[in-house]
Amino acid sequence: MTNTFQDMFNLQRDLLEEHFKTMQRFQKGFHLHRNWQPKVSQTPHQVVLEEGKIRLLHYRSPQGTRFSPPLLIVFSLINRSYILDLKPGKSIVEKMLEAGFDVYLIDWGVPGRSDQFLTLDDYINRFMLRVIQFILDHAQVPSISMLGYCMGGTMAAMFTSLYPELVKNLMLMAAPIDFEDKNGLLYLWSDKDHFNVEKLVKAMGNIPPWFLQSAFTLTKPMQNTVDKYVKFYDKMEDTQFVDDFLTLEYWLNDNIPLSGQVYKQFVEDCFHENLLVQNKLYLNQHPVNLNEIRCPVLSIVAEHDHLVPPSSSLAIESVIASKDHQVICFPSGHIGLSVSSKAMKQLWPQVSDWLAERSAALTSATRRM
Amino acid sequence: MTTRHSQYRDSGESDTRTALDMWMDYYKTVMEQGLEVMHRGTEMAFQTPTGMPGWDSFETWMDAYQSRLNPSEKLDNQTLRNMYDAWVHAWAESMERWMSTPEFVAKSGQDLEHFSEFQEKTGTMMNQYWETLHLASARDLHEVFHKLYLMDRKLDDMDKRLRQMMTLMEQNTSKPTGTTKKKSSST
Repeated sequence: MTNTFQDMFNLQRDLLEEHFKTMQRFQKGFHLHRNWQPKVSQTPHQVVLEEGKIRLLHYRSPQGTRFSPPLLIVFSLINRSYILDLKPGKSIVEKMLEAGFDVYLIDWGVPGRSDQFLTLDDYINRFMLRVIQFILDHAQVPSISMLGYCMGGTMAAMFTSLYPELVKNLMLMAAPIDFEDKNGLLYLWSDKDHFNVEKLVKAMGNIPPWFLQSAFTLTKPMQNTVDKYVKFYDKMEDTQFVDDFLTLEYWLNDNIPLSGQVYKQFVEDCFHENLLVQNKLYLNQHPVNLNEIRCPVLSIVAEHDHLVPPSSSLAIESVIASKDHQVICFPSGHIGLSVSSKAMKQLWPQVSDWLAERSAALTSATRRM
Repeated sequence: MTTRHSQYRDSGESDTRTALDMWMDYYKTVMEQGLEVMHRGTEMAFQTPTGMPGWDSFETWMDAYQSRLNPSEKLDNQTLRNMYDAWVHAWAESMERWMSTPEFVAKSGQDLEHFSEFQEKTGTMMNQYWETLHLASARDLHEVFHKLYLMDRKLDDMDKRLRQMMTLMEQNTSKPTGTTKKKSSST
């Protein structure tokens, strides 16, 4: 026997029950998020060079190397490089090894207080040069292929324009080149009239991870603080989704500080003055002239990139001397380029094909196992 | 010496227990008691016949509720999802627009500048404190780090020049057969 009052009671009780279930689910999600210890960077590798905090990782294809020269991956200085080898099935390194390339990856390490004076010149003219000279000796090749991601792409472009003879093929992935585009929030916030970078660096020394992390989070405030956790809550029973989500979250929250001088130089020379694309940037009196880049160049841009707008990366076309410039515009976000399942299936085979066409195929006699 | 943290661990309790867990325990007790009271109260008040489920699940109630609505009024999961998406989208749009206004940019720049000033003043005070105690301050360490950095750069530069010299020497030693012959013939 039911009546309106009973209906009301039932409704209230059911709502409370449902609310309780929701809270329990929330607690489960919170625990998962807090205690998840993903296994990252699982592809077998060797540390072939260790200088100070910098390590050079060498990955060798188990099937043997089919192409020469080897590929060097340069990652940004503001995050850890294992995003490029996040987990089996979501690893750019793994994809390039499968395609038959020998892969090297620079791990920049974590800058301490003593590294606050390091400049872009140190990173490019000293560390990158030393690493690349080491690879040339190690792999017995006259030049290498290079893939730069995000700020690592900008650094790779700078290096190639300073040492064009050492780079055979250059791939720039979501690499900011032109900083004039005011569509991105980061570009707006670093406006020179309002952002006193010198004062910040003087006060902080190195730029702490929370500062950059919160700036990146705020570029998509609702998506990064509400929506993604709601989606996680929705799909908490899907083990594969949970593993992927929490592994990526682990990387996103595993930030490192950035050398204060690098940050100051990058903001002042690139964001404020936009010197790079005008070929007016100097690294310790060495002019960085992008017009010196003559090797084949592949620009990989993310269509929905809110951190580096595609137009910022594509500006390189008008300044380089290379006649072989190709663009792949992929429908994903900035990080999706390196971790999304779609990118693994569609983008990276295209990239490895592009590189294979421009590399020398090794015969069975010259192939290295 | 055992720290408080390790004692906590040694006691066998999970070290992942948080304020949220404790709150959930309390909440669970209250909820269970509350639901029990409500359940009994409903049974007593309305004498639910035996064999009939005491209380319907939310889904059952939702189905019953929806069956009373006109087809055009029915709420399904997709509608709720669309409503949520529209809500997120609207908020995201308005927040992003707000954060790209010149006022926001100016205000955040100003706040950051105040923060930097505060940070710098705190640093100066700390330096003075350590210097009063005749101990090394952050400023001293800063200077040492800077000197080390300059030394490192100089060493690198020397290494680079040494390599260049060695390359030149190697090139010279690989050439000389012709020149020595010339020398010997002239002598």
